[in-house]
Amino acid sequence: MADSEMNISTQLEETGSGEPRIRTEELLINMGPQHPSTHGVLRVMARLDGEKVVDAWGDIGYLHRCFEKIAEKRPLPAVIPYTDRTDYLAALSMELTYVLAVEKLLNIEVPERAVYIRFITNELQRIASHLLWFGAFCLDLGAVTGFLYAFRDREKILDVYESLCGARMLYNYFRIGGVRNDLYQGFRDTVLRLMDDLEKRLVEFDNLITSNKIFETRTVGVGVLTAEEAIAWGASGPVLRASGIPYDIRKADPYLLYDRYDFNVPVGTNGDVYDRYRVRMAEIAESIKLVRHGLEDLPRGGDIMADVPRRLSPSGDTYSRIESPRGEVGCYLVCDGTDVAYRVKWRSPCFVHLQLLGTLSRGSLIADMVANIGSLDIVMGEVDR
Amino acid sequence: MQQFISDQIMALGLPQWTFNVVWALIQGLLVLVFILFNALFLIWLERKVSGHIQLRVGPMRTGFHGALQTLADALKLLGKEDIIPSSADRAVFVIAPIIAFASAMLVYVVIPWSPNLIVQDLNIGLIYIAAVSSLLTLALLSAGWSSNNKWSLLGAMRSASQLISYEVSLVLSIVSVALLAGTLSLNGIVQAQQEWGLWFVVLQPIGVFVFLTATLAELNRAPFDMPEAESELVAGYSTEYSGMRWAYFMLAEYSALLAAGALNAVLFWGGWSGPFLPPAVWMLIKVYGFVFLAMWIRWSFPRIRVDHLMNLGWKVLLPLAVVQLLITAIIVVVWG
Amino acid sequence: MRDETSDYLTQSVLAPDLGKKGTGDMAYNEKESHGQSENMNDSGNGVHETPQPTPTAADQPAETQPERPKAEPSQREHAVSPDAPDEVKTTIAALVEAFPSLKPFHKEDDWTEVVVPAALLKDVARFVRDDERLKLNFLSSLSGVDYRDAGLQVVYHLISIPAGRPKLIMKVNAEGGRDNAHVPSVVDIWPTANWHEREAWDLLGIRFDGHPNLKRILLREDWIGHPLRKDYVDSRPPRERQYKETWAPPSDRGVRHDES
Repeated sequence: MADSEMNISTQLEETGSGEPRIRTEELLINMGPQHPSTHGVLRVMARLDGEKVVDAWGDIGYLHRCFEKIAEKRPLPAVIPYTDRTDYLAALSMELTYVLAVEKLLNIEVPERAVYIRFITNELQRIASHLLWFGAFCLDLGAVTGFLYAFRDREKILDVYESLCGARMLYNYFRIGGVRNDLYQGFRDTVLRLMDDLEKRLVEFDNLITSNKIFETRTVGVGVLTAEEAIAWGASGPVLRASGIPYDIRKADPYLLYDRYDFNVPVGTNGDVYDRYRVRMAEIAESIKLVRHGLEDLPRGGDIMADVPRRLSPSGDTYSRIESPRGEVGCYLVCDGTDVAYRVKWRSPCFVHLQLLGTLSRGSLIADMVANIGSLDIVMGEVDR
Repeated sequence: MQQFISDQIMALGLPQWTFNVVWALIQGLLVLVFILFNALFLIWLERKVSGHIQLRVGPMRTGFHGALQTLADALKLLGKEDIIPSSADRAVFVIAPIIAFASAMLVYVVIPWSPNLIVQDLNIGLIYIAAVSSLLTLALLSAGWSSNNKWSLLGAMRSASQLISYEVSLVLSIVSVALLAGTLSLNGIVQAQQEWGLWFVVLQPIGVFVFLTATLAELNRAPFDMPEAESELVAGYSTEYSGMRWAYFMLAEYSALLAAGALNAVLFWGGWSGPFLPPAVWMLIKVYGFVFLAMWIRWSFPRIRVDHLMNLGWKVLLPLAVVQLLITAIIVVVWG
Repeated sequence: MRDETSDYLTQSVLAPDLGKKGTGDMAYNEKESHGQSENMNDSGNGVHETPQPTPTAADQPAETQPERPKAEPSQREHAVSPDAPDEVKTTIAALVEAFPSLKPFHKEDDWTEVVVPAALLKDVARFVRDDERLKLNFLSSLSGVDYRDAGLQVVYHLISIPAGRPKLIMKVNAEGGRDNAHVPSVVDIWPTANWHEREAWDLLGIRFDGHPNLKRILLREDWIGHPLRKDYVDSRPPRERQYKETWAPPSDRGVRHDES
């Protein structure tokens, strides 16, 4: 709408018979990179017919900071802090992916206690990330209160992390061969109490949001993704499971301790926004269970670091995948026998999910598009790397 | 006071019309002051209510429990640079916030705060309100259009479509009240309720619901804040507004909220009538009751989607309002 | 702005002191590897046909010496050990049956790896996706790797969902030398490859034939070069460090101190 007057004149075009014919025009809008609900610096271009989305596509790269290039320039252990910054809402999962890849190349056996610590902190991270997603999703739907409710509980998890490693978001906690420092005194009690609280909170969230009629009408049947589409487009994590496919790397290719403990993989049926919401909320409950299991069996004492040579010189290539809160994170690591990685390729679930935006949004309303972006759980740091 | 001023003017030997002008100005000023104070209070209240609903405390630093926060904000807004986008339609852009505020203010002319505390008890009060309150949408529409911004335009269109779908049921629910009371004057409606010893909420249970929902939609308040919808349309019609112009919209929003509360109280909850306390106090209690309810709703519900909003307006509220009108008409004919 | 950039471009080639800084060695590498890739082209451009190009280690600076990773098809041709997981055995059997020229082998855990010539890629891809035994319907990752003189390689990690296995790594060496690397696009087989391929084009300069919209994705449209290439030289001027006025740059800090 460069010039409103011009628009009017084009809309009242003269037809052959001399009668003015009213014509509608498609509106090309630019959502972001500065927009309240683009979760960072995502830019979505959308063609609108009134309120209806004719087509939408994402434009990314605003947060690109050459993570993969940096990883080729820094010694292997020094890349860990950079992995934090890919998905800054689930930094530990990112560290884990990278650390697992390096350990696989070096054939390092991680001590039992360190594995447990990784397992527990990683599941806590999943809870924190899902809580934040819940809050942000509420915000996308215009329910501001849910956001603050979720943040209250996420804060407590972050407090635990702060006591554990001094950082609240970007931990730099995992090391190649173990973890940086041991748990602090009282970690077990704090976390167990937190889990009890959280279980009650989940009921509270359910009462506040799930049973709300407006929420239901906003989400049920919106942004439907069929199972075939989900697989073809490479969707993973909650997005894939909401479409009815019970695939979880924690089950399919267990890492850490996931093969030792029994947990459910929540699966949706319709693949709509509502199912994605339900799957994530159910995953919080499962994670609570896993954290409790992990704390129960946590070995008392023992090493937290494996015997890792001072100068690492792995060679060969490997691919490690884990189930991050957002889906399948992969790290394709190529090493050439020096202590610097030859190539690090980061497979980010958000990057893959963003491709779905057009498929999900075509034919829906702007409000649905916002709900769709929200339900995909996008972290731009990971998309752009 | 009216008499006093009249005497003074007579003593000065000025003609009668001078008195009318002076008196109107004084009344206007009083209404303005009333609105400003209430808006200041309402904004503070909104922050506090939302804060406590969201497990926060809201503003605490400026004054007692943040009481002066709004004042500080107003000062800040006053000091802001006045920005008009270069491609905006200047005249309309400038006048839109004024229309918005004026429309909200005009409603106060006919609202009875007590039997005598009323600016002008128009005998067509209800029609006047229906006419004046929809001016707000005109303001939003022109604000959105003149901003020359796609988000603003979308917001403006939403506000227009919202007006069309809600004004009808709103007016219908008012009409059944008028039918019951046999008058269009707001004071008359309150008196009717007092005479009957029965608030119309008892006789118009559906009407109350329709009116409440429709006013919330008219006010563009969450969950019906489609024209603004900050997570979808950035800030809708007000995207390009800043500083004092934006403050006008804010002011209009809150004075309209208060006016809606007053209407609600007058039409269904007996207005100023009530035992023991003075009438004006009763009125204020009822008004703020409604305001609190509106805030409660705003901070608990997700935003409704625009097509569901239309559905609700046309397929639920309108039939309900018609049913209410029919029932009222039958009651009036049979027992009236 | 544009002028400054081009100025710097010429500077970066000429300025000898660039090599002193850590990033500068790329400039030297670029020259060398350019020369080598020309040689390669002269000698017959057989990157994809000989899947194991000889590492050219001798004339490279020792610290950035790129060794070809050890996992090499020719060394492990018959590496199907009897204790390999069943899925791996089935995968290898299915692949060899359909494409006798391929030499899949057991990589690690339950991954099977196979090097596929670019010309065969589409057929193999369609086969592994549709075959009843494999059903590799999920493209987990598509990575481009720059092996300097050995050319550019694209690595596909494939998984069958929902079972999670079999799992296959396909490695495809790009055709056409470094400056004109081509690989057939698999977007029509796995739609998810769309952005992955755009990213590989953007960062590594691998062209995917048949891609519907092969544009830069992470970088600006007008970016020069492909940053993840080993011979990439940043064409932008180095960012000058901002010092506060009260604090002189280290080089002349002492001088000022003397003066004052």
